[in-house]
Amino acid sequence: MSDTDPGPDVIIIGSGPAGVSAAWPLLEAGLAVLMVDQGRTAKPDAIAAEGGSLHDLRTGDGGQWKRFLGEDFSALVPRGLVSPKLKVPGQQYVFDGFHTAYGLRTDNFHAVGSLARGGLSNVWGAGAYVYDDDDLADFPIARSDLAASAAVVARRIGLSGSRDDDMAAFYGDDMPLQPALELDARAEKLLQAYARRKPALNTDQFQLGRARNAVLSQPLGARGACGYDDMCLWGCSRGAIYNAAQELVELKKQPHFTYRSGLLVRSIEGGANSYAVVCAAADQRPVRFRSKTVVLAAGTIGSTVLALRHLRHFDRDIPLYSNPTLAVPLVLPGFLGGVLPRKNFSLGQLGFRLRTAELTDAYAHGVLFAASGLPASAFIGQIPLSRPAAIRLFRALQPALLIANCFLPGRFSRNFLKVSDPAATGGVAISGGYQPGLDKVIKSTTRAMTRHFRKLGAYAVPGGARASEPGADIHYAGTLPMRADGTGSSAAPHTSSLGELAGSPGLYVVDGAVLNQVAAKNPTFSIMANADRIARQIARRLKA
Amino acid sequence: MLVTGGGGYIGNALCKRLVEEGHQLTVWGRSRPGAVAQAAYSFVSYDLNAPQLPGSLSDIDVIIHLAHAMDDRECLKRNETATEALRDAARAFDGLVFVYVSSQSARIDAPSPYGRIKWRIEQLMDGANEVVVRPGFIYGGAGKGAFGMLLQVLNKSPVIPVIGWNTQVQPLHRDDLTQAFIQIVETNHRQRLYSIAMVETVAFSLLLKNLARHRLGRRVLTLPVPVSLALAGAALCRMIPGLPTVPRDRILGLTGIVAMDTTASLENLGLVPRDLIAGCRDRPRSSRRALINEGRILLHYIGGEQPSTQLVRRYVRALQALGLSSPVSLPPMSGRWPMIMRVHEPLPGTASPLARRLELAVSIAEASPGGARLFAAYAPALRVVAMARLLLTLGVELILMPVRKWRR
Repeated sequence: MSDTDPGPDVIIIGSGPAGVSAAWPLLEAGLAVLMVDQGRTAKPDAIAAEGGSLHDLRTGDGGQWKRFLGEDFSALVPRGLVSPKLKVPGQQYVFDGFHTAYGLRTDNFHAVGSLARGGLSNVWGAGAYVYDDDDLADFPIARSDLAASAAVVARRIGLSGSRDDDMAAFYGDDMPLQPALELDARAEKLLQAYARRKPALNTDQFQLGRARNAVLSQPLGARGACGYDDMCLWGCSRGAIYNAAQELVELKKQPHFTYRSGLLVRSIEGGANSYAVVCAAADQRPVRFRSKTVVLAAGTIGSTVLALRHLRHFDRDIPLYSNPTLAVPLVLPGFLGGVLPRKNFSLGQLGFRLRTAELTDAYAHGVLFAASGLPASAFIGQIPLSRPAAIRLFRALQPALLIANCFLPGRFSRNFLKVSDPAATGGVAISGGYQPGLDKVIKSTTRAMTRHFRKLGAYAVPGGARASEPGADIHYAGTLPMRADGTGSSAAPHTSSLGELAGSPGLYVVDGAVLNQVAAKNPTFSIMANADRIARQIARRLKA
Repeated sequence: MLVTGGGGYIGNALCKRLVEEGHQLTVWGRSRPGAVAQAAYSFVSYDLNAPQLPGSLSDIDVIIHLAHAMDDRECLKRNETATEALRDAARAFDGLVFVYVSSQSARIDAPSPYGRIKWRIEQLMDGANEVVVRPGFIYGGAGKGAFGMLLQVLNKSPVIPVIGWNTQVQPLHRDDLTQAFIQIVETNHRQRLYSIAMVETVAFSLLLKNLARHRLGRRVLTLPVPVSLALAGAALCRMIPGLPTVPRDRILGLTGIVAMDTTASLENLGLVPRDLIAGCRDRPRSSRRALINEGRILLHYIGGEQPSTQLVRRYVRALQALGLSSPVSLPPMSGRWPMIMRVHEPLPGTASPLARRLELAVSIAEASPGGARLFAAYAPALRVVAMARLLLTLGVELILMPVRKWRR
């Protein structure tokens, strides 16, 4: 590509949920879009997702260990207390190379990022909620600014859930929805108990309803509906769980869309509506692309690094928010010693919202998962018994178990990201931590969860609550916050309410980096809606 | 963790140990640590003479710098430049611990250039997280490097020339040095300088006799020779093909040894070096059979029945893939009655090699059709029976708990 070549109208960096969400409106406006990313894919010899249920695989397949442990036994490498989904052998390519690519160094922070096609949506929990006005309190935009985009994204990716229970308004009840997925028997019982006991409950403090998932209950395009194979964690053969890589297939069919993978973007050179995206190919050969408009969607860490390098904002800590999380196993005694379901769905069954004395101005939000799709080994090591006794206990417990995974607002996190000059060491350092009061909040949240669920006949396993290490939630945000136009202080890097990087007209950021704060909700869907909103404005500007 | 010179005599053992401890390991060196499964670490080719470092230190928390080039005098100086470059790169990262492996012979006025250069490099280590380790005379383990040469000489010659009339050394078994590194990495109260060896000095001739006797099953005579004669002999050896070559510096290194007081360092690390005879007795042995046996016992213990050979083989393969190639010690009767592991099993929350093996055995047992029957209640059963069995198990557990506590 020569220097005089004007290049595509817009270059998007990254193929994750934010990148594809930004691509659609630009293409619809007739603009030429180039998407650049590393685009790693699963190894060709990886075990593909096959049909059949987890039950059939576990009871009948002698070669199952390859899927569960990996042919190289990668699932057995010690990694501390992390979500089982981060250990799935077939998904290791999603995380491979990320730390090295950015020279990432962490201190008390579990950093997860991706150079894969589709980014972290390859492994997400698929909880899809749009931020409401409370969540957007620190933002220069309101819920109404996101409404149209949220509906567009919801229609595109397919959401299933309920429109008329106590969680519906909180998750967003003004967008197209497929019917909710069938409930697991334990979750069903809990929801019935909630409906029955509602008059006696303080629903101002605690609300329970169907989870909202980017998982299909009805076919959509090439993707099939959930078949209750319980394989959510191990690879859905039907494509029922949304993944940005699925959309990339559709994007590639668009006439003005070009996709270049195998490239690691190193820096954005130039300024003011004249940019060069400098990438490194696999053989380290530099590759450059020019455009007036560049959209960063490399994921919060990746986009922040590129933006800070562009601004030459080196060796200064900037805040990075993430959700402190808390997992509490709950037991429904009526199911103890019972039978494990052969058909199930192992992502979010129910959602709940919680307020406590320590959380008056905000809330904790949690999702309940059935435990049938999880490996017993993940729990057995944590049961204070000998292994054979722990196995027997867990076998009796598992059919009665729901795991409550609870998120707390990002303002309780205290993480910092720092980029060094590539001319010097060039690395990226993230240090993690929590705000001083978090201990108390976690304790009171655990107590409140225990109390509320007990009223519904679900009992927290004593000593079973686990708070996660900073960063393990992978909900990273807030590094390049959006500021109402003209109100930005000059010192800290930030973006306009359109995600345009201050001082760099034509350079936009559309992923988690521009969220001002991360509420106690998985931010992915709101990021997608925001990317769609920003892209619509970019299209309008470029067309003007 | 980054180990430079990981392919050498000490490096091999250290890398193996670090992988066993669950560290994420990167090795820079001229050769790979052959004792460690390749999948268990990442390897970068590293030459001290190269002007640039071969990789970034961004993922590294601890560097153990073992690499040392000793081909000739020019080369000795390059050690200093290369180490300084590595140190400077390390200083760019806060909290990165740099462990430099020096020598007992390091002194400003050491008779050997080796000792002098080691001393000069030690002076570079004046940063907050920089540590110098001076090991004594390292012996034991696989016959590689200088120790391998020594064994070769002991194996070939009935009469062994010993430099000097009464040369004293402070022996240190290679595995005790490895242990020291582990402790240094883990401690929160790190010293600047560690002198690590047996507290007492031992005549070099006695060390050689013990090695010959216990390691090689031979008796040898030692013959004291003056340094000058030894140097001439070594020069002669180099000219005659087939004879082991002994670098000049090694001989000079033995002459400049001054006893070190190692008590403070050993105390800081809580380390007791093994005695000379025990150390000389070790012999590298094949551990595969022991691993198979271990897998059979642990999988039987977990599954409650004789495991299939496939499952046992998978256990061994997993250990090898993870770089855990040495067997753990199990109680003597466990081969016959694997269930006595119930008393031997470490208490929950204890991090030990056995706890790690049990964790692996649980995961491997679960990922099989037999595991699905054992771990997952897919099959309908009488709930009363299931609950009664569970109560019984928990009752036994309650009784055994004090025994397991006491065993610690």
